[in-house]
Amino acid sequence: MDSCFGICGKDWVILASDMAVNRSIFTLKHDEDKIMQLNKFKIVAASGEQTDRYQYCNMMMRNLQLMEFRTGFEPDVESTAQFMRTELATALRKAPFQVNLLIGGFDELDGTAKMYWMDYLGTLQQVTKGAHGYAGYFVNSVLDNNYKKDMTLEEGIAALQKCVLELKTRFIINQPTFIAKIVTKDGVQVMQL
Amino acid sequence: MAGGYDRAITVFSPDGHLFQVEYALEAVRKGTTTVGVRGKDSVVLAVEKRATPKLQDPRTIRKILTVDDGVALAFAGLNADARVLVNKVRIECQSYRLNVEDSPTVDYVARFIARTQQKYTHRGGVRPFGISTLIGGYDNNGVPALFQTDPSGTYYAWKAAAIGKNAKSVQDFFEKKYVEDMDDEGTLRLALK
Repeated sequence: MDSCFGICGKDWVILASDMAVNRSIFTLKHDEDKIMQLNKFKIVAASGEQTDRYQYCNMMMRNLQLMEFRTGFEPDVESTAQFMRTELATALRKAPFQVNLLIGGFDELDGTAKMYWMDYLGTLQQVTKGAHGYAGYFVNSVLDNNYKKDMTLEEGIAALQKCVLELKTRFIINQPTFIAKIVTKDGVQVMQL
Repeated sequence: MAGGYDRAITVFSPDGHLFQVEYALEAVRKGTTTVGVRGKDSVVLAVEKRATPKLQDPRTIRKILTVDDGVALAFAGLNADARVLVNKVRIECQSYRLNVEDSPTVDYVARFIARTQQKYTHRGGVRPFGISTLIGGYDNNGVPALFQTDPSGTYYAWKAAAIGKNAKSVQDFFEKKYVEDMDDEGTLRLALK
């Protein structure tokens, strides 16, 4: 069961996810990057069925690129999230994608960062912190306790590190590695948590 | 007899000409002069600046369009036809990237455009695209490439090419003045002349 969670500040957003790919009783790999970079200022952390995750995220990325060529600029985070939601919702009653997403991005126009929580049914909500999967049970309380308005990026990273610690201590599934991606006005940075 | 879209418009004349295609080429010959020059490490696409009506916003006139990362397209002929064709190409480029996980070569893009332009000389109920295009870009290995397509659906690679008004005289000029392995500045200067 994939863990993904994230936290959003005023002008930064961090999404984190585990890096394991499990099949029955095996861990196939420990270095799967489940956070896809959609374009210069947007990332999406996806959890759920492996192929659906890969297919859906790639399709979204390519469609957003096409939109960028057609219009001449990157759509903002809200538009991106709504577009992704529409695709999920349309597919829902035909061939549903079993992916839960956290979309994070930075809007150049007003200098703010935004984060959206979306589940596989197409439920979309803007949030400041969130999680998907079993991780939510462990991590939502940690995020609640450590979040405060106008927190700094460093405080955000520290909060996520506490989440990782919580999962490593209490979650039955062994997830040794976590990857985090940060979006700020300078674009996307990657770090290991 | 079915609806009405099955009758071919582009048919052979008794002496083996496709008049619709030739008329399309005539339309291209009336378009703005567009040139492309390929140097050692660069490709330059240049379009003649037409006098715009006083009240028209000159920024909305787009004659050199980005089709993909590293591939640009300039055209001569019917603006609207170009818009439609470029849209198709942009979709095709993203589709290629989604399926193949690699960027399309300039040759592929040119071939696609040529194939599309040819289809419209073959199908019932449609007329050929009234544009010739100059496609310039880089392949993965860093080698610059310049291609030209025309309404008949042929495509050629060029070192320097001109389309639109006065294309013949510009092409003659190029034949005299073109030098192999020009540097970036030389290429730019030649195109602008």
